[in-house]
Formats: sequence, C-alpha cells, structure tokens
Amino acid sequence: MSAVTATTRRVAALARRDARVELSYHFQLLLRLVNILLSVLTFFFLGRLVGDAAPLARYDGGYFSFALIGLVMTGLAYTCISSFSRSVAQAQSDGTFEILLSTTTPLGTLMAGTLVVPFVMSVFDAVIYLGVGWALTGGELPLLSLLTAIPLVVLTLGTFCAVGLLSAAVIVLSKRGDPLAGMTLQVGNLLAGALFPVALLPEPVQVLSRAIPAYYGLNGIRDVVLAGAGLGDVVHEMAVLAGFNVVLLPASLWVLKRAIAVARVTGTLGNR
Amino acid sequence: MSTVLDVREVAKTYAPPPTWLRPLIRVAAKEPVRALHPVSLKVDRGEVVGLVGPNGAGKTTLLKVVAGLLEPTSGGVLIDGVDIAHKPVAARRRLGLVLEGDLGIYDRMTGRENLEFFGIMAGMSRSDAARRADELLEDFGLGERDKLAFGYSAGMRMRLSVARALMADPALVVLDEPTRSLDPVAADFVCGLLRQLADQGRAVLLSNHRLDEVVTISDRVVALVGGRVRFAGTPDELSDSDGGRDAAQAIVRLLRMEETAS
Repeated sequence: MSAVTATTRRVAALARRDARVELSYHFQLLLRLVNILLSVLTFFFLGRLVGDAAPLARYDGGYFSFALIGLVMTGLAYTCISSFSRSVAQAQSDGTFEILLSTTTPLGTLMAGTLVVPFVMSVFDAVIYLGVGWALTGGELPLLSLLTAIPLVVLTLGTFCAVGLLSAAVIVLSKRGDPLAGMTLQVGNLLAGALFPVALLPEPVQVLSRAIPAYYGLNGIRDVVLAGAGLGDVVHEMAVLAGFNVVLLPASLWVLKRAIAVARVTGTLGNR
Repeated sequence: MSTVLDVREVAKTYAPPPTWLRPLIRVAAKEPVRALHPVSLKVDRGEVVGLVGPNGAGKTTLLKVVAGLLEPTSGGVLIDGVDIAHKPVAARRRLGLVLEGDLGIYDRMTGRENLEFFGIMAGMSRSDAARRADELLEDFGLGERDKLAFGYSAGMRMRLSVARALMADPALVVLDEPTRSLDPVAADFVCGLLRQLADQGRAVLLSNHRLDEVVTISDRVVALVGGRVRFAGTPDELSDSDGGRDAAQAIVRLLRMEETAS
C-alpha cells in the first residue's frame, strides 16, 4: 500500500466522521443558511448607501461586489483558521485526542483530514453567498471569472491554514481560548481590506497591510473577478503568497508538533 | 514465553513548563512532582498483569508512558522488541489502548462506524476494517450495528472501547480502569473478555481499583505506591506473603502498611 493511498484513506475516514457528525445537527445547518442570507442582504443595502465611491473606481459592481468577495474570503479564511483548533479542542473534550495520537496516523494527516468537511461546507456557503449576490445584482456579478482566481484563493487560504495550525498549537497547550483565530480575522478585516479598500487607511498603516498575506490575496482576487485582470496580471501577488506558504506552513506544523511534544513532557496532552 | 512489553527503569517527573510557556500551560503543581521512580516490569505473551495502587500511585502515568503519550524522564519501553521512543509508529502498530474507562468513542457514530474509523486510523484498508469491525461486534455481543454509540449502556461502551483497541490485532493491550463505572454483570463480562484476550496470545496490562477482579484475571499483580513497585508476583505469592489470606485482602493490607509507613 503506497503512502499516498494510506493518507487518502485516512483523510477520507476523518472526513466521513466529521460529515456524520455535522449532518446530524440539522437545525444548525438551517441557521447557517439564514445567517448567510441576512449577511448578504445587509451588505447589499449598505452597498446602495455607499454606491460607487471613488476608491472603488477600478472595480466593477460597486461596493456590494467588493464586499461580497471580502465576505466569501473571510468565511473561507475563518474555516482554515479555526478548524484545526476546534477539532483538537473537541478531541480533548471527548477523549479521542490521545487515542488518535496513539494510532499510526501522522499528525499532518490528522490535521488535513480535519479540514475537509468544514472546508467543503464553507465552499457551499461561498456558493450561496455568490449565488444570492448574483441574483441581487441582476446577474452582473462575473461569477465565471472566479474560476480563474482559484489559484489565488488556494494560496491565500494556505496562509490562513498556517495560522490555524498555530492556533491548534495554542489549544494543545492552553486547552482553552483561541486568541489567534479572532485576532487574525480582525487584523484581516482592518488591514487587509476585507470589507473596505486599504487605500482608505492612513499611509503608514498601509505599510503594515503589505506585511499581511491576505492583502495580496484579496487584491489579486478582486483584480481578477471585478477588474477583468488575468492571472498574468497578478503574478506578483501569487509569488508573494507562495513565498508566505513555503515558509509558514512547514513552520506552523513544526510548532504544533513541538506543542504536542511539550504536552507529552508536562503530562497535559489529554487534559480537558 | 516471549516478552511483549518490556518497561526498563522508567521514571517520570512532571516538571513545571518553562517560564515563557507558563501563561499558556495550566499545571496542578508549580514544583516538580516525581510520579514514577525507576520502574521495571515485563508482560509476556498470553499474560495479564494487573497494576494496583492508591490514587496518585503512578498507575495511569505508567500506562501513558507505555502508550507513548507521556515522555519518561528516564528509562525506556519496548513493545514486541520495538523501542517506542525511537520507532513510535512501529511500536504503536503493536499496541491497543483503552484510556479512562470508556473515553474515546464518537457518540454520533454507530459502533460499527467507530470501529471502522479507528481501524483505518490504525492503517487498515476500509474493507479489512469493516470486516474486522463486524467480527468484533459479533464477538463482543454488540450486535446492534446501526445503533448510535450515545445509546449504548456503560457496559456496551466499554466493550466497544476494548473492541476498538483490538481492531489492528495488537500484541499488547493496555487498559486504564476498564471496569470503572460498570455494574457487576458488565464488569464480569469485561473481565472474562480480557482473560480471553490473553488466552488468545496477547499481552494485557491493566490498572484497576477493583482488587477482587485484578486477582481473579491477572497472572501477576504489580502494586505501585508513591511511584515505586512495592510488590510484583502472582496472586498466590501475594496471598502467601500475607499468611495465606485472600489475595485481594492482602493487597489492601499491603497498601495500608505502605501508606502508614509513608
């Protein structure tokens, strides 16, 4: 049996487990849908108020389309940031964490498998966000150009996964609290331009924005989807994001492994 | 008989975390706590070894070191000749683990789904895991395959936990208080099951506060007090050491004497 087959089988088993649990909470799924509708409608009417403000001139579709991209990416990013730590916390709580670590499944595989179902659900959310947005704009939202932006989306989410692994490391050690997830999203909202153009920020603060991977992701995605750019026009953004991924992903997995090693020494691995 | 578990001079001191990590890690004691003085023991194929001792004696610590979930301060553990520190994956392949009674079951999955899942996590193919799950559910009297685990009684959950530990057919099964919170009938069933595992050629190491059960199913008893081995021998030897009295009572007397002495 090849390593790839074994990994795929384990990831699929973890996904089946999570799907089984998630789908058993029907009411939660319904609330999720209602939340999306309310959120899209709020930004639709906010878009009417803002109109085509000057900083949005380079994008088609006005503020609503601009914010919709931010909303979709924020949802996907939140999943990447929070799924690992939520899964670790849940496993510590139901007593499966130590049992899973005593199996032959590598930590990286456990984490990858943990992401599948939340991510698929987030993609469904994104489809609903965009579908409702498309309907509200009378079909003007260029949905097909989103397919071109997929490499940028993947690279952007990779950097959020790295933050998610760091967040899981914090949970392994502290058991409670997930400071990185909330903080990363807030920083993203403020500095990366999730809901308003970074150009509105004071110049010195804009320098800080350029240190955040999400800034490049959102810029590139909006350029492709709302400004008619091709992938060739966003090579710089993709290169910067790839660089962040190459450094952050292995580093964050290493930190998580170290956190587990520390918990093995202090005897706090399975504590709740 | 061949040795499956070889615990060599394992000591464990819970040291407080480094200063820079203290805001993150919540630990019970701020000073180092010595949980295990160097402890050695062996469990052979076909043998049940019962760990007994008062709360805080170091039983769970020892079991977690054996399972690779705790790093010993010194010493080492070999499972079927494989050093768990140097080849953790190979060692874990030979180990089945049941922790703190019936912890480690997904309530929103059926018994069959639980077993299949953990079988795949142990490296089995999906079809092998499904076949093995069916065998174990049958053997363990858990015939209602489609019943969600949250509908299981405590006894059924424990049987499912033991079945989970056996999915990959390990040479060594380690159990922490497998009969805790079980009624006498369910406890008797689980004890019979554990004896059967050893009779099938596995090595079984368990901790238990129910001394009558320990002396009934164990080939050897190891009494831990304050992280030190105070007695290791067969239930008959234990009984002989106490003037031929009942072995379970002999353990109680031994533990009382040790507590008084300390």
